Amino acid sequence: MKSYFFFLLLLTFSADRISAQSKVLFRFDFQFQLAGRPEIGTHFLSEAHKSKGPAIDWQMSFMDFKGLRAGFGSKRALFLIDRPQTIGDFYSSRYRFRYVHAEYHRKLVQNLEWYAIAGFGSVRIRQRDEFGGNFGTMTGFGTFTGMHLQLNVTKWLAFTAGGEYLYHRMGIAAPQEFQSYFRHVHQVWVGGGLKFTFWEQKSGTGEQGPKPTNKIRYRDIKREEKQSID
Amino acid sequence: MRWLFLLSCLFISSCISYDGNSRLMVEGRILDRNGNPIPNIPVTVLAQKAGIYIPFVFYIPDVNNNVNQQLTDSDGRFKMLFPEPIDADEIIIAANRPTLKYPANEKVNSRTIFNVQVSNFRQNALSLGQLEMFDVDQTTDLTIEMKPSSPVDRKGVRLRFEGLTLDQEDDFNRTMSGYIFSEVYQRLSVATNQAAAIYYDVVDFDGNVFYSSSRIILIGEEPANIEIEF
Repeated sequence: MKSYFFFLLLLTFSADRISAQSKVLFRFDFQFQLAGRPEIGTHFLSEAHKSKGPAIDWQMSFMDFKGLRAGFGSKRALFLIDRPQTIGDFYSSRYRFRYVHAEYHRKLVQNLEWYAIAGFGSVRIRQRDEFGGNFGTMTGFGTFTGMHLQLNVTKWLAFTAGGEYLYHRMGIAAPQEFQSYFRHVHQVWVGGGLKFTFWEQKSGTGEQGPKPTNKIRYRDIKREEKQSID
Repeated sequence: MRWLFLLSCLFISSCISYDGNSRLMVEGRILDRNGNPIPNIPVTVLAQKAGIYIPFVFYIPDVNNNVNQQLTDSDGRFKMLFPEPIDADEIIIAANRPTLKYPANEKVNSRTIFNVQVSNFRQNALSLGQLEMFDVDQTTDLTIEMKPSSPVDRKGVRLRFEGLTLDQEDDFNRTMSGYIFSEVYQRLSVATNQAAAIYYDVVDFDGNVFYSSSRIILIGEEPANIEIEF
């Protein structure tokens, strides 16, 4: 119950500060996201693998320009082999997708906004046996697109929730009847995460005005004196 | 420290590496002698790399990686995919050998096809066709007796048996030379009521062939005995 009130308090405090986000010229975000993976389609990832634990997606974004941001990130997951007949009798697959992405943010209400995200990058799936032996690495090209809701809790912290559709084109040589099975990978990642804002640089005429300070500068005293004389 | 480094180098060199971006497929069908399919026979695909043995210096055993295993379906068929081994000496397909996952069917014989090379796969696929197996109850003994005319000549016999044996082993490419026997018996458990063939080379211990010959054997219900004089 206490945490609930604390959460409300954070919302009320943060509301006026976040209203000036459109003036941000440069910001540095770090997002850590946990996602579940409902795989779709018939391909080696959905047919032969089962996921172990949540997948992890972290990303960094920069360059806030009218709600448009760009950055890079990585998605990682661990799969166990469920049906080895169709891929090979090893223990696990370690999935990694490194990408660059672009986001477009729009405000919904005072501290709630949505954003669309799209990106592309390289996919690597490393296959290992129980004893750490290497059974080769599958590589490919991946794209993704998604939509998220972002709840800005404080100036530096936000919650996100949403879904992403991932498509990978793997360069795996396979027999004729299995070429489509190994070539196209579809996934849907649904999940939520935390977004931290580490650093932001604003334009000089933000809605918040100049930063309040207790220091009286010599220049300001001179200016006041000049105004009083005039 | 130097010994540790050398040992680690040897260990690394004894591992088999795989191309994750290439999948091979092997398929086949297991039937009994009447042409009926045999279900639930474990079929294993092994990638093997020969070890290194220098007497009194060091010994690295063979590396056998179990790259896939499967039970035959109700129609006696199996179809397995596995990553392409890069530096394996041979690929072995073993039917009805016990594995950690599946026990062997003790009612029928086992069969091993060795010396399968990656070059034998056409468009990443290899069909073994129909593999015939027989009931263990329908076996009898076949004794092959080598009789040298003079033990001073230092001659031997290199044998190749073609027929149904209890532990049947087939050389897929027929490039590997067999063992050389001299003044010994070789006893095989073979299927009853079959016509088999024995091919043999009379060689010296340097491997030089003096002459080659063959013999057809008719095996009935009773144990059979063959004498090879050279």
